[in-house]
Amino acid sequence: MILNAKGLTDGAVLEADICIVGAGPAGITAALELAKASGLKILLLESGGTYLEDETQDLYAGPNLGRPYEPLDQARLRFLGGSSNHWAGNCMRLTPVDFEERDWMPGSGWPISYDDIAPYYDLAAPYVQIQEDRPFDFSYWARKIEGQPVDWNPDIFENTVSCSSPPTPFGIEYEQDLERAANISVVLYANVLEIETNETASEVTGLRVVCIDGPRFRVRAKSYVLAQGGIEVARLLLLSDRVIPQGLGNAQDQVGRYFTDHVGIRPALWIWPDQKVDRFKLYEGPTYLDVGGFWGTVASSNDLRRRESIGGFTFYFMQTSNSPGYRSAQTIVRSLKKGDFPPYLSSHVMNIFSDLDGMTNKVYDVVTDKGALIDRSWLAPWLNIECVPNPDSRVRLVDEQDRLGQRRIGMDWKLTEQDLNTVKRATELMAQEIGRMGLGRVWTEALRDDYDWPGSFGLGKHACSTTRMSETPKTGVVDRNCRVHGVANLFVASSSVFRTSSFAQPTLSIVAFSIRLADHLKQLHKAGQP
Amino acid sequence: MSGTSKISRRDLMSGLAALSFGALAAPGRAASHTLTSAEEVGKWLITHNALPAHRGMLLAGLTQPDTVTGWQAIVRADFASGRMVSVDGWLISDTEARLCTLAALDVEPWVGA
Ligand SMILES: Cc1cc2nc3c(=O)[nH]c(=O)nc-3n(C[C@H](O)[C@H](O)[C@H](O)COP(=O)(O)OP(=O)(O)OC[C@H]3O[C@@H](n4cnc5c(N)ncnc54)[C@H](O)[C@@H]3O)c2cc1C
Repeated sequence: MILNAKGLTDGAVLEADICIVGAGPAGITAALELAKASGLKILLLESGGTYLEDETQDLYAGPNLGRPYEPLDQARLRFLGGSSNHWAGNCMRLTPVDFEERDWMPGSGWPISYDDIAPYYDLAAPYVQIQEDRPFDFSYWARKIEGQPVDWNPDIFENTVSCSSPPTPFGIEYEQDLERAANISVVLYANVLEIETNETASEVTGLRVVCIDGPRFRVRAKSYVLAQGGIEVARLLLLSDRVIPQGLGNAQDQVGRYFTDHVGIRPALWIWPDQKVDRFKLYEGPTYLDVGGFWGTVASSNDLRRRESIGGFTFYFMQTSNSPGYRSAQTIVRSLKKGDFPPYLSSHVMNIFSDLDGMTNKVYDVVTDKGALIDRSWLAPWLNIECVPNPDSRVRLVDEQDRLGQRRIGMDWKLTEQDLNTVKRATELMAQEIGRMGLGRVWTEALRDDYDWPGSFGLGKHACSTTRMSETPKTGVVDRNCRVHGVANLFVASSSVFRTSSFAQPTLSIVAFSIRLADHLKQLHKAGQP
Repeated sequence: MSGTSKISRRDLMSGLAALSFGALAAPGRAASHTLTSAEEVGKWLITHNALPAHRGMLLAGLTQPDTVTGWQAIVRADFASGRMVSVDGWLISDTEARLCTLAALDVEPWVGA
């Protein structure tokens, strides 16, 4: 059943066995799984309606306090289906190394292992509508399109599949299922303002909820699941500060810290292939087949990540006609507009004069606005990296309030020297491997001594790690079952629990973790606890 | 250096071609850079102090193949072990860089080295 909170009476109290806050991929999956053959009464509260509305979306706005980040009201969507209404659909699994403690990476090491989540990936695959038989088997896809995998040194790289979801918009795809499930009630336009607890903050007693320009009401359930996405989960915990002034679950000042996302250097290098570009067809952007889509990528191998002090990374190969010369032309134009000369001006000028067709393309593009004139194939791999856990990279409440009187959340995102090292080393290794196999030659700026983060780079919009999983409350916010430390009946379904963020995009794992949490909650409720 | 006197400068240049300099030196291809020949690569390396303009020192760091095509294996081994040199952002192998620099010095490296 799907209800509109606007129709509730002021002061109403809604009751359920389990209440889930937020109907994105995490919340919708948890609701459908919990409802399956359980008899549990599930209440799913969603802030928005079934489409984008400005007044609700504005609740997501918040200032940037650190390194430039995507505006917070554009980096996510606040209506049924959440950010899956505009995700790209790329799906990978976490890897065993992600869960291991890497001694050079402070704050790594989950309290669970890959084996604890592995079985849930098979169950998660249908939710995101990827090929279910052997989605991550590189050789399966290679055979399908008769492509030849590159024989990377396995100590360095491995061929990895990123499966392409259609991309599933969870709100649209599962609206009917939610509507039909006898034991699920979805309440739209229900903004959760506060988590209420007993006086020791050891148990949640209810939720305070409001509808914009509509009724205020309460929810009472036996268990509560926070699934509002990697930034809002932290915000609601911090806002729920009646008993613990620092915020619920935050006695140890962990909530909101360690914020991370996947950084994309686009591109990190240019490859002038010494082979027909077709040689790389397995790797060049997503391919869609009747069984589903895939993208062959090149990832840091497990061994490399154990051996070297660098984060995980993936290369996404792209064909481009934007050569280094084209890029140099752009750099000079941008700098001159700002009234200065770019560093390495002479190199850029050299690039332009020598790269004649790249330059012709640029001029043609500027003059005609029609794109490239000369179709020339370079490979320009994008590099996505895992950033190291950093307690100073965080989201935190600011004084400014939204229309519901709630303090907004500010983004104070930080990158480290270590992260830049990952970019440099990954690029160096790719140049090495391309040369070793005689596949071509590489041009890059990333190995210059004074190379620094580019002015703009890609962001996954994958908000991770603000309520990390940990053995103890000192080092994180939730335990191995995603239960908030010290709060008996409060759970989190989100990439906010990821202790480290991997190179993998998060959503498939978010769904897998939601299914795992649903299993756990079903067992608890069956056993009568709570 | 021994057993090398048979390789002439012509051999060296054809050796470079056999190395498939690709982006840097392959004739007839739209190179992406001004550095369209081995000598120019070498000049760049000398000007930027990337390698010494000293024949003996350059030769000392070179492994010699038995055949011209053997260069490829040496170059690949350079890459495999990360022995790369940047030519204004282009990454070439240490062996290629040394050969180019020798070419720029206009020497016949194996004669009387
Ligand atoms: C442009 C873009 C491209 C992306 N591409 C990919 C990709 O290729 N692969 C990938 O894995 N991931 C991708 N992502 C990330 C992906 O969208 C998220 O990982 C995923 O949507 C997170 O799901 P979620 O359910 O945890 O949170 P969300 O999708 O953010 O859903 C949270 C829900 O909670 C609701 N909510 C928030 N606050 C409250 C409140 N107080 N009360 C009630 N309800 C509330 C919101 O309205 C929303 O519906 C992309 C994201 C963006 C923005």
